[in-house]
Amino acid sequence: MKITLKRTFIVLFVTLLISLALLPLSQTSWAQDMRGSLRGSESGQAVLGGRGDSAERLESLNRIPTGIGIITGFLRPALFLLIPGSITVVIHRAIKNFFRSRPHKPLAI
Amino acid sequence: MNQRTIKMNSNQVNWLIDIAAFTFFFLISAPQSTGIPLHEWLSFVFFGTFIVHILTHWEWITSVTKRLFKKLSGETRFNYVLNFLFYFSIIITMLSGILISQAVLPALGIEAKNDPFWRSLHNLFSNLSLLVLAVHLAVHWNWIVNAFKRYVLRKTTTH
Repeated sequence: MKITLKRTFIVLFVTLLISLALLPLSQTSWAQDMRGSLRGSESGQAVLGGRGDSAERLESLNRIPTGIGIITGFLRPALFLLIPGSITVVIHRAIKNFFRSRPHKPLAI
Repeated sequence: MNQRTIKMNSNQVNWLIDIAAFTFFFLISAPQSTGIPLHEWLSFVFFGTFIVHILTHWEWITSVTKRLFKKLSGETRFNYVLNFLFYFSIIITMLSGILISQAVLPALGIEAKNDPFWRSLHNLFSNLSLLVLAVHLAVHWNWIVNAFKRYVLRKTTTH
C-alpha cells in the first residue's frame, strides 16, 4: 500500500475528466424532457395541495431536525443498506458453497 | 517521558479508512437528519476518504484493469464492475450535489442554480450508490467481520 502524489493526481484528474464529460448532459433533450415532466408533476401536486413544491421541500431540509426526526432520517439509508446487503450475503454464500461442494471433473485417462 | 508508539499494518490502516468512509457516507445519506449545510460539508470529507480508499487499493485496481479482458475469475470481474459502478455513481452524486449546492457554494460566494435535472440525478444516483455499497459490503462481509474481531475484539481469526 503506497499513496503517492502521482497516484493521487491521476485519480483526481480522471474524476475531474469524467465530471467535465458529464456536464453537457444538462443540455440534452433528455434533460429538457426531465425538467418538463418534473415541473409538470410539481405544479400538479401543488394544485392538489400536496407537498410537491420543491422550494418548500428544500426549506424543510434546511431546518435541522430534533429528537425523533434525526432517527427517522437515518432509517432510509439503514434499510437501503440492510435489506439488499443481507440478501447479497446469503446469495454470495450460496454461490461460494455451490462451487466449493461441486465435484471436480475426473481426469481423462 | 515514556512515549507510546502505535504500529499498524496495512490491513489495519485499510480497515480504519473504510470505517471512516462508511461513517461519513452513512451520515451524508440522511440529509433529513443532518440538515443541508452539514450534509454538504461532510460530503467533501467523505470524498476525501473515498479517494484515499481508492489509493489504498491502487495495486488491485491496476492489476485487474490490465487483466480485465484476459483470464480472470468471475468474482474478481464482478467486483471490478461493481466498484466501477460505485465510483461512477459517487462522481455523478458529487457533481450534481455541487451544482445544486445551497451551503458550500454560497459560502464561497458562488450562487448555484437549483436545476430540477441535477436534483433528480442527485437523488437517483445517491440511492444507486447506497444499493451498490450494500452489495460491496456484503461481498466483503467476511473480511469486515474478521477485521472487526482482530482489531476491535483482539481475537485471532482464521480465513
